[in-house]
Amino acid sequence: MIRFESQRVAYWFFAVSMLLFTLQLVYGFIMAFAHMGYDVLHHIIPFNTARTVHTNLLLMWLISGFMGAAYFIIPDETDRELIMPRLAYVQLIAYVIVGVLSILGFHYGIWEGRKFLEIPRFLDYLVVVDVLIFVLIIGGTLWSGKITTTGSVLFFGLLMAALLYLPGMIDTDNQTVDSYWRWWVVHLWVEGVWELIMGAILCYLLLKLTGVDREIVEKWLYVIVAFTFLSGILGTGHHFYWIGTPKFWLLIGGIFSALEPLAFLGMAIFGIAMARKGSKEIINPMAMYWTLGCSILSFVGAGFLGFAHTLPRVNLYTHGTLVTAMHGHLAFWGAYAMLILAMITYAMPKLCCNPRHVESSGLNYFAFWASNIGMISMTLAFAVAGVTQVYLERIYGMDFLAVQKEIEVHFAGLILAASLFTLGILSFVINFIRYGRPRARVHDMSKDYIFDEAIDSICFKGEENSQERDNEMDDDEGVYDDTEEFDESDLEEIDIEDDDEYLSDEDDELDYSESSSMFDKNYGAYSYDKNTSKSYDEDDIDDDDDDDDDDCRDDMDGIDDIDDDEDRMWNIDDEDDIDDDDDDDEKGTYYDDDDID
Amino acid sequence: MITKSGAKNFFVIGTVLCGLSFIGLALLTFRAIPSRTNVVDMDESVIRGKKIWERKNCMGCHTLLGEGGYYAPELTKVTDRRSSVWLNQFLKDPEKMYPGQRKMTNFHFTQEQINDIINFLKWVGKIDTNGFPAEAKKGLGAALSTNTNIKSTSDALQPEKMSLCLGCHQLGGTGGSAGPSFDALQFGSGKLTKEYVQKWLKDPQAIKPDTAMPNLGLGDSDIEEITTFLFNLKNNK
Ligand code: HEM
Ligand code: HEM
Ligand SMILES: [Fe+2]
Repeated sequence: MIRFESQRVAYWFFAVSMLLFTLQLVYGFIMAFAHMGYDVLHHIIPFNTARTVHTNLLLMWLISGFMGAAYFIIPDETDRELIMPRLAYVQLIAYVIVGVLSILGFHYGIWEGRKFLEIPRFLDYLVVVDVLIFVLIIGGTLWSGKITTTGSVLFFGLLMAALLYLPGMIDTDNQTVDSYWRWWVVHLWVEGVWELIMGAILCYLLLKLTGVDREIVEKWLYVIVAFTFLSGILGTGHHFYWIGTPKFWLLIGGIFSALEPLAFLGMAIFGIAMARKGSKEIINPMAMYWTLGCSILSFVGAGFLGFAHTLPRVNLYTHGTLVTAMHGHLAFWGAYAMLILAMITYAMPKLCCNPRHVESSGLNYFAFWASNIGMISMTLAFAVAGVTQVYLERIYGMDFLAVQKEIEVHFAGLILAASLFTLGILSFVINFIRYGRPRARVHDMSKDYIFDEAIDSICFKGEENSQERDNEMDDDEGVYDDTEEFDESDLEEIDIEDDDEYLSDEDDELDYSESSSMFDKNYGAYSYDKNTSKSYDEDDIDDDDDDDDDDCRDDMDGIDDIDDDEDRMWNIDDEDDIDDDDDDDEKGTYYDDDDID
Repeated sequence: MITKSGAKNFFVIGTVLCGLSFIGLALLTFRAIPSRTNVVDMDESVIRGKKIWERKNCMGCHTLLGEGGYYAPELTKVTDRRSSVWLNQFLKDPEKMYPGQRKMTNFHFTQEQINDIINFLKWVGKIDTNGFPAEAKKGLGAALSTNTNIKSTSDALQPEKMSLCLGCHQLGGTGGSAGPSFDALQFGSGKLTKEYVQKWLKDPQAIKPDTAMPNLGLGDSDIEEITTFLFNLKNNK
């Protein structure tokens, strides 16, 4: 039930994310085994290659996830299609090409040895161009649509993230200066502008999931991002203690970075408070799990564990040890990885018009707990190894390699924990694949409400409905015939009815109650004039062979078409139809007895 | 309670103030960097060394100024810990120096590249890092002691290549502890005749295949110099 055709591009960004994430884990294992003394791949994939690939894949899949999230959220927030939706696909392909080239290059020693920014210079330029296209599409859409706080904070975060890539490209011969600029990218990303992106996405998810008043949610968003910048900008100083930069950074970095956890505490409180305040029935509980998991673990990983080694007295000993790796894992996981997984869990049923979270939430539920317990255990393994390293090597002066021998056993623990984690992530990915491809019908917002409501009542809630269904089940030998009740009448009604009638009872869809005239205008804009891309005009849809899902919209308008449409989901009047759909046979299963009982 | 526009102002004003302070401090930082990093000593060789450091992604395993991978030793002060001779020998074939241990890639550096890297590391070692890495505690540290600084090359009496040995052995209380201390070995008595020691140095594995001591690739004259030094040391005692 996405509202705009162009939101579908998000699916492909999410798919790229899932693929790169899975690959990232492979390289994690290579490194963990090397730490244990089994560096069997040393001659093919030496440690520095494995590490570079591991961390760059992490950044790539997170950024791909951010892009997907933005392409999903921005049309929804601005109430219009993306401008230049086709360019978004071009941008995706370019992104994948740059990513693949970089990763391949790392295996042949084509890189810059600058932690996290290893992509070689000539590919950096392509990254910049690609990201500029992305920012242009998002910015242009925002500019010509409705501007909400959530949308603009998201855009501002993305724009700043793109701009902050540039300091990392400054050439210098001085190692200290090199390192100085590197932190403008790495620190100001994860402890600065990415937090804006995170805040905005959390805000969007909480708005949608809890139904809390937009004014309240967005007020908190401002408070949180204010804390982020108040502490995070000068907090960059915690990376300037020991690299040859002046001593005043010990004071400034110490004080301001010690305040950074406040922003993450804000996110945690924000998430929990909004969830408790929310009155809306939660129809996608797993999205809520991941959202709250993100807001809480980001505080633990980034806030608490970051604070643990940010004071100069402590950092003098822990700097550049496995203690940093401990913090890096839980911080990235809690703040950004879970955020993307929350967004995917929220968006997939809508993108694929396949509310599988009813019958598949088991897999996602397992993914949630396995990956979180796995990651927390991994953090503990790194912590024990790291603290031991700090004491033996840094405080008592034992030789580096001798210490590494002592802590090998903790990497066995790490591998165990990582296996559980990986099991969780694989479940998530399998669940992702089982949703099928994006095939959602698109609805202008006048119909959206009814559509949502209809799906909800059939698939998720509606006590009386399930009663009815039970009865019908028996009669029809397990086949639930909902055409009468649903297809014809409801859809016909949608077309005939006047938009304004829907507005009256939309108390949980804030957007619409805000302004009805705005929405009328957009409805027109959507179908006809202002739309930049012809392919979305009603008449063109059938000619558009590029995108075979386009004909979904026809179904909406003309019920007659439904019988010809293999992929439809409304015409569930015939069991055979469901089985024929080999593409994605889970799609129809929510009409099975089990689910209804 | 704070209003939404109040929150927005808080955000905008806070961000602008912090952003401006950050830029001000950046200017101060750049003013201080040249003297703190001894830019005057940054000659061609040091710069070439940095380029090699970057191109080979040494940071993927090692930390420098505490930044990098956690797989291999921190190198900020490595030139205090290891002599140039040792580093030179090590970089020619890293695995040979630590047989059977964690592996470092052999990059097949030319002699000039090795010199550049060592010069770069020497330059890094002199950066004012506000005290990083911290001095380890004495006491228990000394008992476990292996990470001792070896300033042996400054000892004029010692043959230059002696510093290779002191990466693992102790002499006069300083040195590594991977091998037995020279202070304890009874040179000239038992099997430790000069001939035996010379044969050992030439190829330790030929005598004891499973020994952890690497073949250091020493020439005959180096071996002669080292053994003479060690045996004289004993006689003088
Ligand atoms: C989501 C937010 C965060 C992420 C993803 C994150 C991630 C990381 C990563 C990957 C590193 C290693 C960087 C390197 O050595 O190159 C690091 C270092 C560090 N982080 Fe964070 N961090 C986050 C938030 C925080 C916060 C809020 C604090 C402080 C309260 C903090 C304190 C530190 C410190 C002190 C270091 C330096 C460790 C060292 O000296 O080796 N981090 N962080
Ligand atoms: C199968 C799971 C994983 C394993 C076994 C694993 C293992 C490792 C190892 C051994 C390192 C290298 C530490 C070193 O330099 O010696 C590393 C680095 C890193 N990993 Fe993972 N990892 C896994 C998953 C992840 C995930 C899911 C994330 C992000 C959410 C992540 C983020 C990072 C980061 C940011 C670094 C760099 C840390 C730093 O430089 O401080 N890893 N990982
Ligand atoms: Fe930081």
